[in-house]
Amino acid sequence: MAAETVAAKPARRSLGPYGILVVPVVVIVLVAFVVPTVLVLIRSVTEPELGLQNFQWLLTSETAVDVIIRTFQLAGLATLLTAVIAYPYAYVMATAGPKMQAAMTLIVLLPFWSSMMVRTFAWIIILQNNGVLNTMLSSLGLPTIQLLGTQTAVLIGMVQVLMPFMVLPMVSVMRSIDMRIPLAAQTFGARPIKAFFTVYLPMSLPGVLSGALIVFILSLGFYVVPALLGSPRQQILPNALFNQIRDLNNWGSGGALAVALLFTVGMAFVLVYLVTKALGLKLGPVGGSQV
Amino acid sequence: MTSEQTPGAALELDGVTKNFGSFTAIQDVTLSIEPGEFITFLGPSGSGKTTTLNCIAGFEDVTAGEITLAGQSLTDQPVHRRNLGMVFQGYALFPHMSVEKNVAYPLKQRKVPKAQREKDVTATLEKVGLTEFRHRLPSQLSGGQRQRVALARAICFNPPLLLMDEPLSALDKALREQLQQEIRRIHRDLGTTVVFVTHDQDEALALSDRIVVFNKGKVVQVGTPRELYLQPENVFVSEFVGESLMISGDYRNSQFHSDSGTVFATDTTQELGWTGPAQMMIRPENISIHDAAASADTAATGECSVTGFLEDITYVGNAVKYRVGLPDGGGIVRAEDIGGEVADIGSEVTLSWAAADARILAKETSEEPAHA
Repeated sequence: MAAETVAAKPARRSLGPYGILVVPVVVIVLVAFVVPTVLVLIRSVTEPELGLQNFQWLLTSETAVDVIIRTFQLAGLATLLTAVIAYPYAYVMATAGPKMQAAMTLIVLLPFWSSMMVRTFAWIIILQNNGVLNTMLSSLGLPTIQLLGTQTAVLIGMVQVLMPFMVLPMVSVMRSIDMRIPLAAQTFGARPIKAFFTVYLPMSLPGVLSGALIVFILSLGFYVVPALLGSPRQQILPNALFNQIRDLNNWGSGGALAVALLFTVGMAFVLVYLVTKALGLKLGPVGGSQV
Repeated sequence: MTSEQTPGAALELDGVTKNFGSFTAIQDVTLSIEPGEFITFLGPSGSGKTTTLNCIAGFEDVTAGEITLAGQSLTDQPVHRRNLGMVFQGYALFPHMSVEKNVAYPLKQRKVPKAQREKDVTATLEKVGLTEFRHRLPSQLSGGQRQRVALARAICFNPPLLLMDEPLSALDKALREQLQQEIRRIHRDLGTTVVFVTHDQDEALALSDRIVVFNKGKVVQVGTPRELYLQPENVFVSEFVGESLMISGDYRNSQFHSDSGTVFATDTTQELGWTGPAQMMIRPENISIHDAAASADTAATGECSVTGFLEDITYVGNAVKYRVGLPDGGGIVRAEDIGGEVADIGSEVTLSWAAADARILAKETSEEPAHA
């Protein structure tokens, strides 16, 4: 999305004969994204009959409200965890030499080199009741823990995949920080830890915010990981949506759930925009432009 | 740590050496800086002046030697406990804080009560003429204004020592000269000791009580601007500080013998106590220049004279600079503007000067100058 806004600036003038080159992308986005989305929106207010009954169900049914709250919690928690784990890694990466930086980029991108399914099944092997982790625990004489089928397992699986989306925007902002500035804070009497919290952290915040925005939006749409590692009794929006449409053939309430999802993503954007504006920050790169 | 007026402190460097692996960045730097003195570290890039400053600030650990401020050792103190004011190259302002928050930062770290802090910030901003910009962010200021914020932040807590790392290098000439004057005024008002790093000799001459000239990691001369200009102790200083005319040769029997055999009288009051390969240096304004073809009797105007070729002419306002090539050297001659050039480029000119104005310097062969 950022790529589009950035590209739009110098392109104020007419595109010229090369304007034709954007046609395939526009067609794909229209046919594969805009049209189906609009159709789903229409179905949410027309099926089974014209009216807002699907949204009434969404806001009053205990199951639906539970799903929405749970989805929010999970996405929020995944974002927070990813940010906390990614920050020190990004800091080391941003201040490391070029070789170290290249190595660390490879490591953080490693999850992308295997398919989502393979990766998630690998987590099942590790986390299941008689899996790698519990075997290790019991051989050490420790009590085993139930992980598979819990939100914890879902979080573990999500955080791993989401890590690069957090690390890379952070690094790109951190690399632009002049390290003499935190040093100046120390010169003026701040202990290193205080210099970090009063100067470096606020300066790196734009990277954290753009990373958090992407990760939050992506976590709202996770389907495979919660389906395989979580429990069907603790459904989140995408799985509930799939259920409604695929198993119950209930396009109306499915559509309402989709609208809720879209609305949430929109709100996340607005929220981050307002925060950045209030803090007078410039947002770091949003989106996978450097992934 | 008090915010009341404190005069500057004495700074001593004793045998300070810094190695980076096998590379020696500074070697055996020993300096004694008086309380309230304005000292400039002058030298080309890589000469060790910035490394020395970094050692004082605590950004680098010294490999050997001792640094003391007001009698207290700084060497093992972490950066945040050295209580120094510093103006960084490129300013290093806190971009997310307003001007007043930037200036208040050192006071806040020193736990100065809020009311006092407000007062100190207001007074300091007034001192540097930034009162109406106090709520702006650094990104909303011009280069000169940012420089003033950096200065205000460095002096608001009356540090005993103020370090300045090439603070004016990013500014244009007019602004630089204006800020030089302000820095001098502020230094006079505060009485703080200042260590100022620059590679600009004009800036060093204009600002300093004393100048420390660095070359290849060593201090090559310490002196007042006048001493450095009139009595440079080696070829490096004479070439780095000001312009000059240089002739290569030998010094023996109290006379200077140029490589091509001309013998020049020298200042008999200059007791050198050595003989050997030498350079003779004369400052540009002490030389008269004449068209060799026009007058034959010019040698009479000075005790020494030599003939060379005029290579280049630069008009510098009230004077004209002539670049002259000599058989054994060459350099700059500065003469009053007489409403035209004394000769054309490429023509022969005669230079003459008083023997007392020539300075004999040992030729720098390898490491140390021949004389000690």
